Amino acid sequence: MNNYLKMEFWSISSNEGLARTAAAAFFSELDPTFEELADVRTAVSEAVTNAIVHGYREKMGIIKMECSTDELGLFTVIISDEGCGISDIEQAMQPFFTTARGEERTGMGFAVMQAFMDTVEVDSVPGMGTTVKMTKQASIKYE
Amino acid sequence: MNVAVERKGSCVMAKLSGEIDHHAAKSVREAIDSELDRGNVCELVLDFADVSFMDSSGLGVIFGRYNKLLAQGGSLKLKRVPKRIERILRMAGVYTLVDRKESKTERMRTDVSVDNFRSKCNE
Repeated sequence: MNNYLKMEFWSISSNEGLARTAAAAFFSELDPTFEELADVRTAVSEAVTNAIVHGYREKMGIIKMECSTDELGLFTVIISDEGCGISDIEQAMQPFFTTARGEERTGMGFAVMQAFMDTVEVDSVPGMGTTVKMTKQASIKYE
Repeated sequence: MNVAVERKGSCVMAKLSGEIDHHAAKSVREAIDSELDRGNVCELVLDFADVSFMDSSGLGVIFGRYNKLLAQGGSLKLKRVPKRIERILRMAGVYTLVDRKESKTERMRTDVSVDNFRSKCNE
């Protein structure tokens, strides 16, 4: 089923729940398993939290989330910010690497996204912002 | 997100309910730490039975409390962890840390019963 959703919201922490709930509701049209739905909720929560905590460093900014589905049951979500960007993406994606250790950040955000989604692509320009693109295949009706 | 903290002697039980994300982490941390900061805590049990969602911000809360207890000579235990949350805990290696201060028998478990908690508090 082809569908598309675009949201823009402020980088405030209460929007983390809004974003993951909206993404999961959109994905649910593909009749995913409970586990697939939970995976998308968690991965979206991680990406939006990264944008708030690391991208905008808790300052106000706009986060964009685009979701799409296709006729083969593939869900795609793109989360982008215009925050500080990431200078070394490979390092940032290493499990337990964080630039915010003092705030009890574990550095597991990207590791969770990679474990819970089928694909994760990160594009970032320091000073310009970060875009995270993730996909998840809904398995039941489309195998 | 709601946290109900109960203290019996040197044992603290925190019953968590709702969603633990970055937004909720601060209030969870503050609720638990207000009890830990009173000192003399030998065991903290986190009850996850009513937690419907947790991401890596929840891992930060767990690791943070683990470190705090370690500094005080106390231990952390997790109780009634739902399957949907079990996956992220195992992925981050939480049980290797939580189990570290337990006996060999206890190391095989990831659950602490209410009766066990109460009996330990009454010792």
